Amino acid sequence: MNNKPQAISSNSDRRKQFFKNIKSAVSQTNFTKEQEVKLKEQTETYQKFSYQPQEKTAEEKLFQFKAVLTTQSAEIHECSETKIIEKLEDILK
Amino acid sequence: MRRVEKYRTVKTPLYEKYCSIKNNDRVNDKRKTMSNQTFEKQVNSASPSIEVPSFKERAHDALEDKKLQQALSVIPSGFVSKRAKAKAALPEFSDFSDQAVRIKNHTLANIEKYLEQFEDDVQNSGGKLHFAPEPQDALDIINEICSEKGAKLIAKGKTMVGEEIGLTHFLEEQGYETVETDLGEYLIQLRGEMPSHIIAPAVHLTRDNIRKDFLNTHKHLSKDRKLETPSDFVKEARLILREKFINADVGITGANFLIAETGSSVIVTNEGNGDLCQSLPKTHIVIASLEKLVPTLEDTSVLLRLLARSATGQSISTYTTFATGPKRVEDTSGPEEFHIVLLDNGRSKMLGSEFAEMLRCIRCGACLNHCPVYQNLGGHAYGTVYPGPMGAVLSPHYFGEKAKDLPFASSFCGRCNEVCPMQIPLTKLMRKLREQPLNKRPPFAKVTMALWSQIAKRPKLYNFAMKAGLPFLSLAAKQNWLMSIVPGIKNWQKHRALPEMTSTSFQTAWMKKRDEDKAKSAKENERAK
Repeated sequence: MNNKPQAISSNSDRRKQFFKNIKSAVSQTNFTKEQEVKLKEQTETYQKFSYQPQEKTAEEKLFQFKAVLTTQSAEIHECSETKIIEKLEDILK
Repeated sequence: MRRVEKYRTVKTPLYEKYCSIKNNDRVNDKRKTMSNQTFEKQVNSASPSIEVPSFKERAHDALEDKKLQQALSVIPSGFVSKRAKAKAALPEFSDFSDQAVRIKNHTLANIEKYLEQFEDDVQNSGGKLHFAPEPQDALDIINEICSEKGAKLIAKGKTMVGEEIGLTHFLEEQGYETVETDLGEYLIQLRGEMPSHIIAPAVHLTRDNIRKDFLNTHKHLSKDRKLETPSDFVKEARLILREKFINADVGITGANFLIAETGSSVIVTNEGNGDLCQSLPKTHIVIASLEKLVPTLEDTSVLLRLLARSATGQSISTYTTFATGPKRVEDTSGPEEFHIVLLDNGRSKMLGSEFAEMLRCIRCGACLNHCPVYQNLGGHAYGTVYPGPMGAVLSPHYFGEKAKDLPFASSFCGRCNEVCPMQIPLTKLMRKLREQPLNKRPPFAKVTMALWSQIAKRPKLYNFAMKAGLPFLSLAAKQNWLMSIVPGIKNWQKHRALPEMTSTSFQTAWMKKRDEDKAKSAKENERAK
């Protein structure tokens, strides 16, 4: 529990006290073995993590693509792969 | 009635000073019932508080306060459901949570290294880092800076560490006009209260409360103005606060995170008041505690994703502001001086103890919102600025004996553990605090538990006791007053209804069924033969 010692006047003294408190706490650490192992493991694996956003499905990508085109006032034409030339001819007419 | 008899009404200059709020019947009623000695003791403690002596009594008052109960009823439909939706919309939430735990554990394990790195970076960017081992150090440092700048008006953003050390009261005592600029904080400042929630400080207030406070405070505005909706309140508060932002000499904010690799402080708000506090006044002071440190910007992004979703159910808060050093030559705006005051106040002791996990807390408030005790009592019943399960663990460390009964403010249902994005085992930590010498059980509880243990160890005696007690409980479920004659239960029963009892105990019903099954299978065996 906190016993509220008297305040210290100078900034360098405060800094010394601040680090002294931390050093003393770390040296007196009373973690259980289990906690220590877990902490060590987490500290080591900390840098290994990288965020992998979930891959969007083809349908989601197409939806997003269409949404962007629509906001840019583009006209969207949909057709099967074999009918592309016919579709282009229709548009060019 | 009991408390009115117990505590006489005393009015001293100190009492008058802290009871100057005219429009808060609930708070004033409580203060009037406190003894002078108790009141002075509380005022002189590290944190300002408005409470009556014990948690039990405050809880009792909260349950009987109809307006408070009305205000609290929005919590399950608001915070809880919004968080659930936000979490469901991010499939990687648990991965982020795991990573956030790693980040915090790593930082705490290497705190000295990151503190030194942070100090260097703050200095390199032109700022100054001040170390405050104790609350009084932090108050002295801030007072010194404000005094040097000849400050008269201070605009203050929301800071729980500031609340922890009673910063606003202290600055007002020193003669500075100090204005809270977060709307919730502003509302409670008008009432002279402390926050009842760590992210929604005025969650205990109804629209009617706010309307009355605004009419009584902003007397220069038209009496007939429309003050009905939250939008009306926001417009009026904006009108008052804009002037304060522009004229403030010093801006004080808290920090959600401190980034070691850049020397930056990060705050999240939904009102933008933090940005104005830190960019308009000539001096910007950040007050934060040491566990806010994170190593990198990338780590901050992981924690920000969890914070907003867990706190308000937003994917990200409306404003996320990074402050690094004072204004540079090429900058068009910003403060001329940038100070960071780093507070310890018992945290380093936690660092090396079995409570170290609590230092991962990012103050999202999810544990409060999901806690059945908090949902029924609100924050003021806890009597310190940190309510709910997180407060029940933190407050005894920060405020000592004053908060010793808070670890008992839990039903141990474990919802806080489940929703904590930082995976803090809150119930385990509360149980550890309950075991501490400061929290020795009262003799009555000891005797009762010893008696119960003796009965529970003897099946025959246990069954007899159950059979004997059942008719009484069945009757008590119908006649509620009967429970009030049982010692130790009358307070428990006052706000709860005993559910209807079955005519037989589980043991009896189970044994009966077992005998019936045995008889049935014996008959079937006979038939088969």
